[in-house]
Amino acid sequence: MIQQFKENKDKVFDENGIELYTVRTDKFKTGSINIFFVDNLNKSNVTKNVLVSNLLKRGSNNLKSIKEINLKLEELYGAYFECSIIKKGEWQIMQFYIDYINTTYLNKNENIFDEILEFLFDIILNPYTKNSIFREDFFSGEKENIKRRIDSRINDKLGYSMDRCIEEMCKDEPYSIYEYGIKEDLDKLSEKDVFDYYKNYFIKQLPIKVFLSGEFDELNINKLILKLKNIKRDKIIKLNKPINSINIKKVREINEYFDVNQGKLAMGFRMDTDYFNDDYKSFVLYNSILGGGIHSKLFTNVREKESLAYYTGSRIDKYKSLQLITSGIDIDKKEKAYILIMKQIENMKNGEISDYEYNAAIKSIETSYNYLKDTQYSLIDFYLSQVLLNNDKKIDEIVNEIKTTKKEDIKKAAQKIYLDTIYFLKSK
Amino acid sequence: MDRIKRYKYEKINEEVLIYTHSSGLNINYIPKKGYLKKYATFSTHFGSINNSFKVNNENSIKVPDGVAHFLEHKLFEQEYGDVMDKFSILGADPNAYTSFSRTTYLFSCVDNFFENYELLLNFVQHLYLTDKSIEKEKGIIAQEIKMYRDNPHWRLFFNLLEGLYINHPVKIDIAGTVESINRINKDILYKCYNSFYNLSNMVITIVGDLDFEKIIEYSEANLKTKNDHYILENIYPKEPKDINKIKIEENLDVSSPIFQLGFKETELPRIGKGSIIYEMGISILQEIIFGKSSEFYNEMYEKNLLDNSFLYDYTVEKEFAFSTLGGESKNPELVRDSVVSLIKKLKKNRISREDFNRTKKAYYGKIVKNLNSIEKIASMFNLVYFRDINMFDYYELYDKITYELINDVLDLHFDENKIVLSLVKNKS
Repeated sequence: MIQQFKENKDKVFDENGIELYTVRTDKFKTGSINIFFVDNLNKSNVTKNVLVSNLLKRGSNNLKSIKEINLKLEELYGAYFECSIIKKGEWQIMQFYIDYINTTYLNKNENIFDEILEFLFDIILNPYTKNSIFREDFFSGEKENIKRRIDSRINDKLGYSMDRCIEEMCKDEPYSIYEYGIKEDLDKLSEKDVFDYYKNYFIKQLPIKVFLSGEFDELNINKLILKLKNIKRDKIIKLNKPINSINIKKVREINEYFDVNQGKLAMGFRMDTDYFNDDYKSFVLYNSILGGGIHSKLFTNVREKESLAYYTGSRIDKYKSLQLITSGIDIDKKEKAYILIMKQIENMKNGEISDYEYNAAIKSIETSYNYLKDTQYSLIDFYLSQVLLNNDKKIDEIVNEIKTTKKEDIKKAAQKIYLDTIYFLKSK
Repeated sequence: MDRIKRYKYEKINEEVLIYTHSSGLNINYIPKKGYLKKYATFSTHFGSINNSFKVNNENSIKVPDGVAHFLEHKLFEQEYGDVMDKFSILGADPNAYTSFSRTTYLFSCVDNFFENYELLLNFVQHLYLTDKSIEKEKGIIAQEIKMYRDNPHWRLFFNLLEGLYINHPVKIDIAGTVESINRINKDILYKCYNSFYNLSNMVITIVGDLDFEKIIEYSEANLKTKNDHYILENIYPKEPKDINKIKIEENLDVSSPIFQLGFKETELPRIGKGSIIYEMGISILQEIIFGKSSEFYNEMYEKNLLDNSFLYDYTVEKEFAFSTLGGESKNPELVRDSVVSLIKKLKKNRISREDFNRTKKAYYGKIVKNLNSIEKIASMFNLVYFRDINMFDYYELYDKITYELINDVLDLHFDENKIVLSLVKNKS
């Protein structure tokens, strides 16, 4: 029988800067373990963190190549393993993720949990070394991969225009740092530098958040805790709170040129609030009404009424109090689009919000929060955010707060949002 | 007449209930207990390849490219205004997409499922057109076409199809061209709508935690009962087994060259349950030959010729089939040559039994994981429906994939003479 999904996490371990949370559910056909290493986003570590995670997934002293790693994963019924780099506000997070099929769906009721644990900790704690440093060939290969990854940003013009707008806007803030590293720094680093960094800093000093999700018993939890206890730790670094400064002297305008058919207009705004502030929910609603979906003013007026753009919308970053408006438009219609977008913002400031816009925005936010509960990873990602922001609110509480926000509150929020940077990507 | 069928799949703990409406339309319902999200799709067997057809043995009709996609856009506009707004008020996320052979309308929601379902059934069964709204839509779709023209992966893919097919309309861009959509008018849209949006040419799939009796009740109340007798015949040009071009290259702003290799499939069955084992056979073969545990991938990776962006896939529809592989590479020609010699070698030495057994095991884990996602279940049901297949058949027929079959598929599908290279790189 499927139990009612218990929408909560339990903290079951907290020692040496390592926290373990369990999220119990039998709704999915898989279990998963996520291990997140969290660092303050900064120029001196960003590239090393990427190199470390790329090198760890190249091989361990037991599984010496991508081939051997994947042969093992195939034996574990196609368990999926990946290390990713995530940027949340001004934190850089190195994620080690594995998911695996539940015992129930295996023929002989085999138990693969122990092997999954062995695998994951082998990858993280036992990298393939030569003369006690990372292998030279792996190292140079991964440098190439990271360079290519950084260069390939231009292939997606929409994502690129958004990244560039933010980079220009937050030039002197850690937020502008690209989470996949700084290309120029790659050549300055040696196998030894990065191995020392891994051994003395990455493993020993970064806060670690671990999530176990799916169906498991006390024995499974205890085995995982034992593994975590065995990690040798040092003094743990302190995570900074994101800086939120509003100091706009003049709106910056940046144009960049590519061989394109369609222009991308990105506009960056600063919001005078933060996630911990009571009025934050009003900004969430403001964003939803302005550009957060098909009910929004941007979608209705810029796309549908004027057919100026195929897509247009806005998003906010809850860790950094920024709003970004993006759209894909004809290159010669930039002025027209800009005026129309600013007009929508003006209307928000004047409190011109229809009942339809208000109700649809609330419903849309409620629905998105509920969807989180249906995807194993989205739920973990939400809990990770809550843990990092030191916030204990449950999904339903957040939704209730949104529901009690009034139009008047949204109008107030509208007065506290300021245009900072206009970025336009156009043809040569 | 027994209009309700129920199939249980013990092995994966899933079931499907099928209701056949008097028009011949089937409604597939897949219950997912404990999930909050509900998902409904309404599809017609009408896509970009259906540009020439006959109804009731009348004269054949040829329509401009992009008409199926154009109709998809138009259905969202009804006398009462934008359908999106109605969904939005009910808290649903509506969407639609046009593929080679299908147009699908869908929504997901948490609350108000039946109101949303009613809305879906009604708007898809009703076309409302004005000359003005058709003209306005041309502006929006022209932007969409331009957006895709700048997308290197989209260009790469359609160039590949141009290389694979000599006459088949699968090689035509789904949205058409700015020129072809300008030729679309009211008469053409009505003609296509009346020909393809006949309930007997359509299917509904619903996934979520719902009451099946109520689904039937709402379907009966909202589906048109009268169904004129009609015969629809699609006309496809004769497609030779040979490929069109061995290589197609295009210049776009990309950081490093991206490529796709395609094998044209001309030998294996595509319709009915029997075709499934061949389809799974190709997927397993791709894993064995090109997967992360393969000699090929590891060699290419170590030589810096391939990286993490490398992907492979097999597309099979009633009317055509092809397999692809590709990613970023500094030397795509060399990768192609290595693939060709690898295939030749494998045909001589055969696939190893060990590789087969291990990969087949991993494949099972992967397909079971798909059952975690409501969207994946709905889209897979839809995808295979017009091939006379039920998605859960894959899990039942999995055991029938044999070592001998894999080797047969290797000989039949991977033909060195039917391989096309598509390539996008910078001008310089």
